[in-house]
Formats: sequence, structure tokens, C-alpha cells
Amino acid sequence: MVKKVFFAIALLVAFQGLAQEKENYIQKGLLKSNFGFNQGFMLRHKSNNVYVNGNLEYFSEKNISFRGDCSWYLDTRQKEAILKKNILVLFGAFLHIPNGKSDFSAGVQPGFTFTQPVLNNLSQQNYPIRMMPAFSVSFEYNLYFSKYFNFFLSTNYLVSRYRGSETGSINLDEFFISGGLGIHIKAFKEK
Amino acid sequence: MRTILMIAAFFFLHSVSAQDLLPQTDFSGGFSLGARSSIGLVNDGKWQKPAFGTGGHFRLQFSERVNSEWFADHLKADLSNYGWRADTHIGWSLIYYLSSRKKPIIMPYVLAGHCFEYLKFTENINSSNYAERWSASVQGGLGTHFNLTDHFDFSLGIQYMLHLGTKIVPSNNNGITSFTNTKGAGIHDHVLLHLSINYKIADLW
Repeated sequence: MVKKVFFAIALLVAFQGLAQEKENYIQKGLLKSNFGFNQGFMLRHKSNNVYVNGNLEYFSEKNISFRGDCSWYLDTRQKEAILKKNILVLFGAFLHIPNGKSDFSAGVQPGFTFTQPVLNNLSQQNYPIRMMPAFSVSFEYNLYFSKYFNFFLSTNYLVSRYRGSETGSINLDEFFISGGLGIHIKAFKEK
Repeated sequence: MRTILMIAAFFFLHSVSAQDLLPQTDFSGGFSLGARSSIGLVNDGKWQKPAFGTGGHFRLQFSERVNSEWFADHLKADLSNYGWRADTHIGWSLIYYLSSRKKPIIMPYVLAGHCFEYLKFTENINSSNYAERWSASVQGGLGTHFNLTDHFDFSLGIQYMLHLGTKIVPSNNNGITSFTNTKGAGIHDHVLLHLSINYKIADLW
């Protein structure tokens, strides 16, 4: 059953890819939403975290888009976690280099994290969830393989600190590799 | 690091050359929205640890060379290793463009304005131990827009804020943290560095 579903999806993708070969989907007025998973690597801790991520992006011009991102911490791959809860909310702009069905982009996104580290074993300090400023730099590749769908692969670096631990702030800088599927529609037509 | 800078420069140059990116300077009536990241330094008699923050603003342009920026931002920083401070600014600045050159990609400016600040000091291990106060400030600085299209720019700016209001004096002696609100007017200095992205969404007149 699963094989049949995958085969049907692959056929649909291939068909749409061929049928729309000369379509140029990346243009002003494009509205896009991507969903995927982030694999995070904390730079100051031995913790490789996994997040689920969604974003909404609008192309105000062919080369410029505005994008809001939300990432939700799921778990860590290590035995002992650094984070108990972490939600990233970012908003910023991206510069694009569209080339046929491919699109390379880079962007910056200021934002906030809603973070709660795990209980400290030494001091037994129970950290509250706190809103902290954050900043992200991203590089992304999108493949628009059909009229409505695209794949994406991105890397980004997040700057974030948790203030108020017993030893000062906790450096939560994290490098992410993300991938997933996106949907897009032409929301507005050019006048 | 050099590779990252080269990639960033490539993106920037490609974007600049890829379309008609030369902006108009007659943006009178232009209304734009922006998001910003900030790094702050505070001097309360001595320099404290740098603060990092996020904010937003809108701009309303009055004439070809005079713009205004209405902002709110929120910064947080450590107080040594026993506490932390949160600065929230709400204010406005007038921007004066130094060049009347038509269609510039780089638009340097000077700015001056006024803002209110809400400041809160909190102890790390006991968040019920805190002190807070409101103050007013004046600020001045300089910066530049990088106009990538007619509607979109990113901006870099640095400004000096002079806060007028009571001070909160933190102290930590023998592991006991206390915050004291002083009486009378006090002065402390604030230097802020902003990176912002902005998009013009309307031409109001």
C-alpha cells in the first residue's frame, strides 16, 4: 500500500515536472509556505536538537521576499537535553537568485525565542520559560518541481541567549540544517 | 568567515544587478515597515556587558530629505553573573539624508530623536528580586540605507542615547544581590548599533 502511494506521488511529481518545464514560478506575488524538520547543532553544548518548522513567505518582487518562521523544539539526540522547551519565532527578508526552477536565497531574520532550559542538576534551579531576542542568518535552495510544490534545503545560524541562569546567561547559538516540502501559489497578478 | 562574506557579497551584487534597483529619492509620503536587530552598550559609570535585542519600526517620510522612524525594541544583557537587565525602548527619530543625489543605492543620514525606556533588573536565581523604572532619553546618530530596490532597503545605524531618569544601582555582596532605586535625576549612556530591513508599503501623499 505504502509503495503504491509513493509510486503515485513520484509519478505525479515527474509528470508535473515535465509538463511545467518552461514555467517560471518565481515571480512577484508568489505566496509560499514550507514545512520541514530542522536538525540543530548547538555550538556551546553537546546537543543535537530536532525541530519541526513552518514558514510563510511572500515575494514582493522577483528577487525580494518577506518571511515569517516558526520552529518548535521536539527533542534532542543526546541522552541529556539542554532544552526543555524552545520555540523560535523569526521574521525577515530574503534576497533571491531564481534560475529556472531553482532558486538560491539568503536572508536575515530578527525574532524571539521562547526558551526553557532543563532543570539544573547542581543548583536544582527550575528555569521559567522566557522570551529572548534572537537573530538568524539563512541560506536556502528551493527546487520548484511543479506548479504548486517545491522542495527546499537550507542552513541557518541562530544567535540566542537565555538570561537568568545562576551563572549568567546560557549561550544557545545553534546551527541548523533543514529540509522539507513547500506549497506555493500565485497570490497576486502583476499589473 | 571569508567564504561567508564572499557569498553574502555575491548575493548582494547579483541582486543589485539583476533588476532595476535604482530607487527614487522623492519618497515624500512614503510609509515603510521594518524589523531590526540591535546590539547595545550601557555605561552606568562603567561599561556593562553588551546587550542584544530585537525590535520593529515604521518610517514615514515627510520630504525628499527628511524621514521619520518610529520604533520599539527590547534588549537583554547580563549583570555580571548574578543578574540580568531588560531594556525596552519606544521612541522616534527624525532622519536627515546627507545627499540629494538622485537614485542613490547608498543613502547616508544623520538622525536625532527622543524615546522612553522601561528598564528592569532581575536577580538570576530569584526572579522575584527585581527593580524597575521608566526614563526618558534623547538620541542622535548616523547610518545609511542600502536601497536594493525601489521599495526595499536594509540599513545600518549607530546611535548614542542619553537617558535622563533615576538609576538602578545593582550590587552583589557576599552572594546577596540587591537593587537600589536612586532618587533625583541621573544620567547614563547607551550606544546602540542597529541592522534593519525595511519595505515601503504605501505612498500616503
